Amino acid sequence: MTSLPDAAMGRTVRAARRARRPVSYAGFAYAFSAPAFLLLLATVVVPVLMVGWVSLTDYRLGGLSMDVIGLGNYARLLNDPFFWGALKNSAVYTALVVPASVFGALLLATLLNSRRRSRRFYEIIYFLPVASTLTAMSIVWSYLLNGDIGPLADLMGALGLPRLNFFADGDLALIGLAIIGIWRLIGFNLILFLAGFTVIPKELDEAASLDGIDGLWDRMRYVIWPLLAPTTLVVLILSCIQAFQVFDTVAVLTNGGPYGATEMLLYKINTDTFEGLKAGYGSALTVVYLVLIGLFSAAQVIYSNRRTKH
Amino acid sequence: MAGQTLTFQHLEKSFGSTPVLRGINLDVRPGEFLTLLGPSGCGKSTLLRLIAGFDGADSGKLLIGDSEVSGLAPKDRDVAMVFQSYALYPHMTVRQNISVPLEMSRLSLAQRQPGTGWLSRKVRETRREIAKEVDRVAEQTGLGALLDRKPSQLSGGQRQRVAVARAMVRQPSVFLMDEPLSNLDAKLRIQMREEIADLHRRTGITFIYVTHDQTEAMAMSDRIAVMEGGEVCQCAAPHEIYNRPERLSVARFVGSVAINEIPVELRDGALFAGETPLGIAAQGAGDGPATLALRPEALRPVSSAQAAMRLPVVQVEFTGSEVMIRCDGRSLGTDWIRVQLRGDEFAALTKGGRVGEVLSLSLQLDRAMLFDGEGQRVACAMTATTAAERRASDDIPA
Repeated sequence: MTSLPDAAMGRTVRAARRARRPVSYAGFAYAFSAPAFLLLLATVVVPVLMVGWVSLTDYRLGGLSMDVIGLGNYARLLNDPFFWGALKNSAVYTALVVPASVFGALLLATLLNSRRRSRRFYEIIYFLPVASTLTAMSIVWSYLLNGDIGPLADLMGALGLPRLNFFADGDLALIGLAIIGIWRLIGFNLILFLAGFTVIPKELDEAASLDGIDGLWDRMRYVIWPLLAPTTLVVLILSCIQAFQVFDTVAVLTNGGPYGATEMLLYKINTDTFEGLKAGYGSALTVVYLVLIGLFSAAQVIYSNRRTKH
Repeated sequence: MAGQTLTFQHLEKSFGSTPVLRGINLDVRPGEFLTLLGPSGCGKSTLLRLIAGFDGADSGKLLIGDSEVSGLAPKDRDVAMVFQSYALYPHMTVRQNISVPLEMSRLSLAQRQPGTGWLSRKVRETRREIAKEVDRVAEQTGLGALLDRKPSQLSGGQRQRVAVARAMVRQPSVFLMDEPLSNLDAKLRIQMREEIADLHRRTGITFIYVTHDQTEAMAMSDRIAVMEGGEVCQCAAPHEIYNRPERLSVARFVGSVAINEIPVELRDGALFAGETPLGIAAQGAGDGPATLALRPEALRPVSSAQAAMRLPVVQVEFTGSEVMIRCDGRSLGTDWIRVQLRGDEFAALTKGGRVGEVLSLSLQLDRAMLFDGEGQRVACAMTATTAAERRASDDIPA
């Protein structure tokens, strides 16, 4: 008559063991990261895959059916002079905005870093464009750069120079947009550089001043520039991404005009997809755009990985 | 490369409302090794920064040689400095680090730009001279084989040497050092200490050395300026600082074994610990509370018949050549009394060499010091009173 209690005991032991068995660590980790993972899937991964798939179809926005046409959209894209024009404009815009906003910000940061009390004030001033609504600011800029009523034109007229009308002139419109782009990006880059300056120890600056490195140019060349090189590269890549994404000013001020002089990649995607309703073609453009931005990002990730390894 | 004098005349400096230097007056002799010693926050580093020109004084004068330097930029003051963190240029090789000061002073802005060596024979010659001098200094500092390395590929001691070499190459007349050894391990610290002392002897430059480590200060300096609360409390040779400190705080700060402090009461020139007479007369000292301070080596073991005090032993510490005995000082109104004996003295002890035993001690009164209630040293001659006098003083009512 001992088998019954034994069996009962075995059951309770098993039950207790089951109750006490801990859920595995990995299980917890997956459970906790699941919400973020699903959100990322729904907002980034799935849309990108869908864009990729739509780019292989002839889907028109609002249409009820679509046919898969393979790489047809991409073939059309390569033969589209407006695509190449937009790509060229984006590249020129980036080439204007990035160097000016990066090196301008580095110079400003160098000057501001040695300020003690006024530093905060300047930081706020330069950061204001970043915090403001670019759409609204574009209107202000269109007035400032206007050839008829703008103060810049008045000033140039007073100096006997030609009154430049930036957004009416096919040669100047892109430069006008670049000026706004620089104005906005310089404040952002400035903050990044000021953060970067904290890697330069105070003692090193003092040692430099004792060694005779006390002019702005010498400090730049012997101390700041080499020590901020990693920061500069990050700022450079981020600026490229930002410049490539220009859209607001184009949409508000020029609509890509005059005569396509300011049509840039993101703006062309918008017009083709939502005004031309050619969602398939627009998606192909978007894929090209994503690949380009992806290259910039990949460069940054590879670089920062290499740095952390050192 | 001759050392210069340095003169501080009533230098004052405050950060906001906090005074950091309260009127520093000091004359540094040419070629002297002067150490600024004090706890953190005493103003020693601030004073060094004033000399280098990183900060300006609020008032007072600072002369290097005969010239007032307050208005001069750091590079124009003919001073070089070795920083606590070494402050080497991390992106430059050792050779570049050492040659920077020479490049900056001997080549103009235009001549310093890359490629000028191709264009100008003069630039080429200057660069060759610079390279030669860097080689010479690197040889002296034992860096000859490391010239092509970056600072990150060097050990702490090697970085330290690069910092010294970079400072030396300018042939300054004043050499400033801000706790240059504090980032090194104990053995290396002693080695570098000797190297710095050698460097000072060889060059004959005026050295101003800042440290909070009293052993460093004792070991290297011609004179030590002990600083406290933004003031120089005493500036004298190491043995003077050690044997005749002017303040109790100075006495506490120097010496590797803590000084013994016995709170005493002076009555008619006789010393009492609580109600117990110590059998010591202090001529020339006024009545009132005071502190009798004794270095651990000013207490000598004696037979119990001759003893001025008999104290239970709490701990015995061997340090190699010497033995430190810590005794319970409660009977004297203090926590511990520490006694330092040479090894052979300790071996000769018949009693008191073990924990729990009682150690009989006499005081070397010529080495004893008396400080008043404010911690100022009282100038007085202390003598042991005879047994008769001791009995007589017992009868004096408290």
